[in-house]
Amino acid sequence: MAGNLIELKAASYRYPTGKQAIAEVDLALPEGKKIALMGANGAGKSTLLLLLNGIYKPTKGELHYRGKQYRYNRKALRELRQKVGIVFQESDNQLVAPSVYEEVAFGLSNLYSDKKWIREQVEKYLDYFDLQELKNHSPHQLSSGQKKRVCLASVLSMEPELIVCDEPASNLDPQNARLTFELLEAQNKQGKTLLISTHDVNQAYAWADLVVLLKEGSVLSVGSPIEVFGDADTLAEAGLEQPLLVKLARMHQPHLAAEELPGNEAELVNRLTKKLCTDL
Amino acid sequence: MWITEIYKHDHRLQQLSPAVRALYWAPAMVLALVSSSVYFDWAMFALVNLSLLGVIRIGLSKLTRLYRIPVAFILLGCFVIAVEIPAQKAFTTIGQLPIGFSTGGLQLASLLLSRSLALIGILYFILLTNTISELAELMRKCRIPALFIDLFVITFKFIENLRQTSFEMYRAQRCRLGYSGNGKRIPLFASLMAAVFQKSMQNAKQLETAMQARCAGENYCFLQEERQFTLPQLYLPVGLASLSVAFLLICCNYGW
Repeated sequence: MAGNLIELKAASYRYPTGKQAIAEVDLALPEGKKIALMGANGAGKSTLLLLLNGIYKPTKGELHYRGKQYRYNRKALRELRQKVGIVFQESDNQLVAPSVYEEVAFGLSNLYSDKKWIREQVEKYLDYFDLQELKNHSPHQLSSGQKKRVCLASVLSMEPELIVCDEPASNLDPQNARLTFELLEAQNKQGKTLLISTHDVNQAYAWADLVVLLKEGSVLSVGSPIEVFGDADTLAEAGLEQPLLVKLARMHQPHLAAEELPGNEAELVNRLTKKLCTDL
Repeated sequence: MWITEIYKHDHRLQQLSPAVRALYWAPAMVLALVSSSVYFDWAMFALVNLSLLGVIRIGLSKLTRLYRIPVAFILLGCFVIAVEIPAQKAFTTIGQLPIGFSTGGLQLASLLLSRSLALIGILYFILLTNTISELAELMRKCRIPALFIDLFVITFKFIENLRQTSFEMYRAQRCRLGYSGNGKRIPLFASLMAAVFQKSMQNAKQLETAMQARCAGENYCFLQEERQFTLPQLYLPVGLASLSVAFLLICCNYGW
């Protein structure tokens, strides 16, 4: 059985301005899982993601990667940032190179010196993300969906073990949002661990293996989607609503226990159809 | 009009390596700098602009708009050089002062105008046929100190960031009927500038964070696509450079 990839032990982070962003968080992220990090605006999601990548150093507490404590020296940070790839919410704030090709090669050039291997890797990811035709374009001249694909390609080309995405579907139309999640899903099938920060309860309910609920920098709840989203009071405390599927199921059966909630749309439709047939 | 707005990734020199591309502009730049012939400079200016139209395939109107700001400054400078106070042949007098153009001043201004325009044209050619990372790489190969190259890249990125932010904020102000009254323009412009600098700093900070997250070190490392070098790629730039040298020699020989 796979263990935990990252563990936060009583980790806190306070901004230089004095604002407490993360407070005494204990959290374990299991390997190979799809994890949704949820919470209202200002709950500390983005700060937590930056802690995982070593951009921020906890002001208190410890972070462990595969059981080893994070070290913040130059060599250790390079290794960590290769293993924990982060895709930012705003693509424009991530795109730095003047062409798509150079953008995808950026992280790899910082890590490795073998140019032949880097070029092979870039070609592989340009093919995978269907970016070959755009490789000479300036990333800033692309559409939001294309920019997101470039950002994903540039991070995934570094072959991280944990892929962290800050609101991957923000600013994307439904088709591009679906495509982004499909690409991430494919990475998870290859054994990568995914951690996604999102406000979309419906997406998280259908997609995640594990849900982490944050409120004011603290972990409010951790569990499977059914456990977390079945608890309406805790969700309301975190400033979130129940997923539509849960709401519909509870409209149908108000006292439905969390473990009896439908896992997907098909299950709910089956139940409703069965109920209708029985009533008739 | 900004370079980044009209830069085309599929220009005709795109398949050449930046070093081969440099053979198109480097001799032109050296010749324009050493030439003291007005005719040669105008010819170089025309050649560079024709090349821009052909190689970059941008419209004439866009190209003309690119020249608006530099030409305004150059003309002002040339006018100051050409004017003579008090003038021997005055075209007007202000009070007791006769104002006119001196022959020497006119000659110098005309040389300055032609040379400046030729050099600006070459500069546009460089910027429209190379990305900033390709130029940085070329500078690195020329053994220019890393600090200077990084400063060059950072300045370019910051100007671009500033431009993008100011454009977005200006548009947002216009959408809320900003700049509609005469009395509001100056305070609005001042607040725009303050907000633009603040937002640009935030954007720059976020960009830096994103770069750190991908292991960026002290130097900007960009890896360009590998481009094949073949000898025939040199024929055209070497031919053009030779013709330019020959034309410059003719100009010098005949005192043009």
